[in-house]
Amino acid sequence: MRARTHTEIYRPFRGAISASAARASTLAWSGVRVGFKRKLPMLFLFAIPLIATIVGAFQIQLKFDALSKELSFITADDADVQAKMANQFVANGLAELLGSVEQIILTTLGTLQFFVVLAMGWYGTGLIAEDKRLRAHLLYFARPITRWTYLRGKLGTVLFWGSCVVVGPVTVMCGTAVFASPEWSFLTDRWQLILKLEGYALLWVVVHALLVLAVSSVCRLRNQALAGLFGIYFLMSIAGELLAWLFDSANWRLLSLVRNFERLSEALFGIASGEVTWGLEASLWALAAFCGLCLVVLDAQIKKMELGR
Amino acid sequence: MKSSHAPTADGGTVPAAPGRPSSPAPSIVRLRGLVKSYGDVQALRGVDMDLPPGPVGLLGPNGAGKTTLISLLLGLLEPTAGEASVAGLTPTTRKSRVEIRKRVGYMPESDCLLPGMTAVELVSTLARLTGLGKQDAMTRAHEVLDYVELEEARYRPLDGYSTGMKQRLKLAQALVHDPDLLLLDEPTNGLDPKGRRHMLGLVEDLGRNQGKNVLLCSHLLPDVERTCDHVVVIVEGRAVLQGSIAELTAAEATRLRVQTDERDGDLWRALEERGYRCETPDEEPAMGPTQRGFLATLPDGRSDADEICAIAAQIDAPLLQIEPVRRSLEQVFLTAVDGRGEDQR
Repeated sequence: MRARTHTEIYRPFRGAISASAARASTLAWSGVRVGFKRKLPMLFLFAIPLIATIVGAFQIQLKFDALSKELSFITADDADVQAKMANQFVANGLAELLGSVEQIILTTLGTLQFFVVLAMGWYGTGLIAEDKRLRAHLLYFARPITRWTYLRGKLGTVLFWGSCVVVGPVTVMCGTAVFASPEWSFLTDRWQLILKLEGYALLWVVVHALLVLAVSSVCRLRNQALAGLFGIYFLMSIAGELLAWLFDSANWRLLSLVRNFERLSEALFGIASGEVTWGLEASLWALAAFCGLCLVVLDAQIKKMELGR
Repeated sequence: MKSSHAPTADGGTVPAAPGRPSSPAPSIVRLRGLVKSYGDVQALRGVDMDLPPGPVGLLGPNGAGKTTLISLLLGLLEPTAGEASVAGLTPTTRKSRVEIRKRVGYMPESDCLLPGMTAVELVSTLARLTGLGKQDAMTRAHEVLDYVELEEARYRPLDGYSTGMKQRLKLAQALVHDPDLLLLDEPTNGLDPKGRRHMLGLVEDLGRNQGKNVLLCSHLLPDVERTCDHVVVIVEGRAVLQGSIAELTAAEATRLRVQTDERDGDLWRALEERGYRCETPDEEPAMGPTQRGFLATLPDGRSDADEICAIAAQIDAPLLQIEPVRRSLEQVFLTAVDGRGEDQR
């Protein structure tokens, strides 16, 4: 027998309903919270990026420590002479050191950016597909939210997971370099590189997040969406390579997301693969067109969902 | 039963709110000639409707336009033509249609609950999406979960919820912002008798005791009959009938159920010779093995049953009972759906 309590009565709401601008973040955070409950995938997907980040940050710290130790061996009776010797040593060695630190960060970024696709695919492909399958969007669109709020909410969730894998590690390693470098030299000398790294990582995450959500919005099952995501991702690359070979024109590689980001990294960090021959503008246009296409698909699908279909 | 007819957009007439008091309470939903088309297909063909405050049942066969009507009431769709007012708001602009959703709570028919979340998380998140502050959303989530008696399961993942718990949770999320109008789409779908009784008890309490305006969309007419005071029947995109259930199912003075003990049909024949129209009832009421019953419609609109007694006495037919026939909501619904209208009543 179950006892009834005094709480089982209907209580009218006396508070206020406001037009909060943070509705998208509420939706995004709710998706993140559900994601945190899947602990085993989290371990598999984030263990490697975490280890890579720790190792990278440790390497950076060690390099700057080594520089400090070498500086401590410079001895002279006169303090001015010692300072001059140190400055000269720093001038010679620091540039080389900062270059090698930059290389560590770029290598880590290059490794991690593919984990982004895995992490965002795992956590993001179900976001809209599952809503459609369970018709959970009926609950969302029965609230005073717009399609744009819904999209921003879902995008926020995917961006969070993507950022955890690539933007977070880049920030941690850049932060380590800034704090470990003598007299903030990494910040003062390479601030442009920090901005470029963060911008590149963010762009990578945003473009892939849009792809993940667009694929999720046209599927009714998470597994379908996951397969579709990797299918599209690899098919675009394969199609680009195949058409480039067939028509003997490297420009067909513009179809590949990876190649466009390669071109971008070449322009930003000077890492040339030798296989991208087109201009930076072409890659930027290709990425913009790709994002536009994803947004068109998302708009059409979310519009259908809003109408309860 | 008195019934007035209101013109519709296509020139037809709709039996409108029969027997309403002369100064009715303001309508929570007011629709005038509402049309909604999807290309060439007209889902709603000029709906005129005044939903009085309190619990109202929305009935209609599949494909009648109920879902489209609910979407319009939620402000999800823009009407093609006509006027609408929901909870005092007119959904003419996109902004006003979004605003309506602050005043309306919706309990969908489908499962629509995301696995991995707990009841508190779901309800508080939806409350925040409606515009409640963080504290209010959490407090309110606990209050409504207590109300629907999910207080002990509030921190359990939704994956393990029974159908009854899911239905109550959906009701809780619809109530969380204390809306002016509750749209309940098949709330007793898939429930066992106990769960159904519980859900109907909640709907009844909300509509009758808490003063909530409820629009209950259901195919289960006994559910509507139990919880609602008024009913609207939609057929092929038109509101073909609306009014209070008490009046729509009221006993008719000219139609009587006659129960007799004679087996030869003498009374039947005697009544028909005097102008009565006799028929066998569709649903035979529980009667004893020797008892017989039929329905007799008095001729010329007369409403006096004394003549039947006199005729029975004349032919020495053992008369057991004469009672006015009360129509069931199912009969009202079927009559409205079949389009036979008033003439058969």
